[in-house]
Amino acid sequence: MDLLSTIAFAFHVAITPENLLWCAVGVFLGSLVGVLPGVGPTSGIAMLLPITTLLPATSGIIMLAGIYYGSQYGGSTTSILVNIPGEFSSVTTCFDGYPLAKAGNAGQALAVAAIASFFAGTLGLVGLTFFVKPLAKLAFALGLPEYFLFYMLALTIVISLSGKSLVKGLVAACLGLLTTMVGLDNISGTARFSFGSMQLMGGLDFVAASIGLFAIGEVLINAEQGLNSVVVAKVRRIYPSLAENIRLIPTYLRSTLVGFFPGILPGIAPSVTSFMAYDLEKRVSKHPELFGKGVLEGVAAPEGANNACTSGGFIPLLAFGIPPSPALAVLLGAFMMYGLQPGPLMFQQRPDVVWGLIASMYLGNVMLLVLNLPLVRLWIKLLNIPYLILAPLIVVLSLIGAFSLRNNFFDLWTTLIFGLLGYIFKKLAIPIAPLVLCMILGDNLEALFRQSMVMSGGNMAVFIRSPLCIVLIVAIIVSLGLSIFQHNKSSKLTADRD
Amino acid sequence: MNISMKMKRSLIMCGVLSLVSLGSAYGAAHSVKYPNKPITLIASFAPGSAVDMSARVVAAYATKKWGVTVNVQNVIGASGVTGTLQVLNAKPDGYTLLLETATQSSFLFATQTNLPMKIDGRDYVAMVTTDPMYFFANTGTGWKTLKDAINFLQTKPEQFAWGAGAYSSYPMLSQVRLFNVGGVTMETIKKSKMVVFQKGNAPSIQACITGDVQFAMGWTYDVSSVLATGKVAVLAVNAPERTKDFPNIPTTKELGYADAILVPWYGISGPKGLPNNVVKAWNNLLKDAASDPVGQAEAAKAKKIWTYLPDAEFKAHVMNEYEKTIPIATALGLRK
Repeated sequence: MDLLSTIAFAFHVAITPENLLWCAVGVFLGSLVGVLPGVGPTSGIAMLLPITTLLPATSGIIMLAGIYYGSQYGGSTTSILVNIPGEFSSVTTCFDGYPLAKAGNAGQALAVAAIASFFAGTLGLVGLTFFVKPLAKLAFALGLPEYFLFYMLALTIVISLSGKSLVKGLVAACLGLLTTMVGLDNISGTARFSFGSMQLMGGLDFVAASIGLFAIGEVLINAEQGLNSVVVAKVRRIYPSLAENIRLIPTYLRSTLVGFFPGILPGIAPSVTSFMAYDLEKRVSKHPELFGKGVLEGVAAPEGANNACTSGGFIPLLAFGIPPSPALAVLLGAFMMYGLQPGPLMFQQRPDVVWGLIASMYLGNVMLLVLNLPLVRLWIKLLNIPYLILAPLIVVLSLIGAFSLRNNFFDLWTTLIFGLLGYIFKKLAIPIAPLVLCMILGDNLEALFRQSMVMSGGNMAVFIRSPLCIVLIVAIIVSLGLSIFQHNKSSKLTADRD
Repeated sequence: MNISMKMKRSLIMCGVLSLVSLGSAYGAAHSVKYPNKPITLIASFAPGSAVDMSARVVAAYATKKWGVTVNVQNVIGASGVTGTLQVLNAKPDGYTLLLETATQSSFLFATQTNLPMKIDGRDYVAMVTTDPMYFFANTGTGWKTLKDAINFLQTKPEQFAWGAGAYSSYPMLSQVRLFNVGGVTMETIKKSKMVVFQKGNAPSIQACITGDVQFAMGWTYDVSSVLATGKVAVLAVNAPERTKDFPNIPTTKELGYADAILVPWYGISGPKGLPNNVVKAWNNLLKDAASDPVGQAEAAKAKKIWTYLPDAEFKAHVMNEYEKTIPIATALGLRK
């Protein structure tokens, strides 16, 4: 079958009333899952796995997949409105999304988040449609040393996230790395920082910690200041203008690339790509100093990246049956419940499931855009609630979300203690973003380094073993150099101004 | 007027309370049919994991057969201990049960000596499924049989890189057992490149595909994926019999390594003191699951094999595995 007739076949499968209905149900539930902090697509799909006993294969997979990419649309809502990151991939959206909301531009932020998600998600799907087989090989392009260098490249973002004081940013980053050491050591199995507690031996849950750092930290600071309302400025316009949308197109394109290709790599989570996209936008922007204060690019970039990442993630899943992320691993479970094994055989034996799924994702993205844009009006009304009522609601929502992650009471303590830490950081003007980035990267960073060293027998030359390694090292040096240069330039600017 | 209202109210309260207590006493005195309300089956690992999938298979089957919902709840943390403790501390009425595996019993107690629980501190209800593991080798090595791999380890241990999965996991312990049975001493094994992937076995398999490690293990649902990449050969299945899904892959038994057989099992256990009718009900349900078309359908989906062992045999199996693991754990320095 040539490609055009495959595409026609795909949409023929997807545009049946049944499949359209279940696609709509899936993306709606996905949005809901994304909005609720804590409950992520992984647990969302897992909770609905029993649906596989009721629905035929195509409809069931379409619905469950809808939850996955739908959640990447909804995750930004609470990040923007109340600074609660629904999941890791929404953490970056808090940086500029929440300041935008405070300035009365929540509607624009929410709308841009939806549009960026649609644009990048759909473009990623195009990549999936036309290049699934060749791109799948990318999944094995990186070995352990290459992955380590990739994570190091992501680590250099810490500098641009540090804001005015590089030292404070590095302090936050180190603390972030320290938190990842709590638990069993990756290589020797020794318990570190466990203080005899079995819970600590299993490590901290970082989503719970992020919820605490952002949401609860913010509530504590605001309570101290006696804040009456989140919005401190008058709402100007709800939706972004056409001119603003056109201005954002290069951002949408860049975030697609940054999200899509790493999304194919097993082990690179949407959250990492959202940080990278944010950093890239800041570097190419004419006004990098505005990032963190509320620029639409700061919302568009991470939101686009995490949606492109989910599209990219389907490549190794469908081509080989290798899920690059935990949520897709559960989706793989759904395939198995239907007796299906994703891989080259499924392309041959059940093209209706594979291509029907891909076509349904285009439709799902359209549905999500149509669903989310009008909802923006409704969401921003939430901000009119007096803070006296909103603040406790935020705390309760955060704690419920934290508990729902693993049904583990210990995570509530994590959230509260990191909430206190977030408050202290804000008082001391220490940036939180580097801490969160290091929490996401730290575990893998250490493990990959040590696994590479075991593999090479202790020989550091393993990190220059391939052309890709060299490219990554050059990228790290360039990234470091540029970041430091940009940092010095902006601190000189502020010094000159003062 | 007030006093008589008060009297009236307290009389009504007394009446209601006595009815309620009579009712529950009645319920307790006459053994109520089990199950008569939803059961919570706790899986201590993430959705999509092997434990979780086994739990879902069992839950789906039990729900169909009993007409009562069996809910799978994922309680994650502390490498499975959180969920285990939650069940052990629950009321032993049969409505909170654990779907467990060696990581929560035999392997756990073989490696950790300071736990707030004992290996026989729970009631073992029945073994439900097993999920055999396979030995993988990167095609770049040119190894065609297990013997090739073991010979390489024996002669050039410093160059032998193997993906050991997480500490005290089936992949790690199975490979060590294979090497021992194949005549490789612990000193030689310690000279090899044991690459540990604490977060789970998937990165271990990924490393085998890319060639960073030459030898690794995986489950049935990993076999198709690795074969599809064309970069991994499946050398053997570590079980007494060939599997239905891959009848062309020889067993370690056929290849002469029968003592290395270590098949991951999944079973149900509960807090100590479960009533007899609860244990009997589960055993009756699971006894015929393998030959029941409903059971077969459920298990085939998740590629699990019904392997029923009644309560006493199940406990014996766990204890046996525990005792066999202690020396390996000690030699590897895992026993703390």
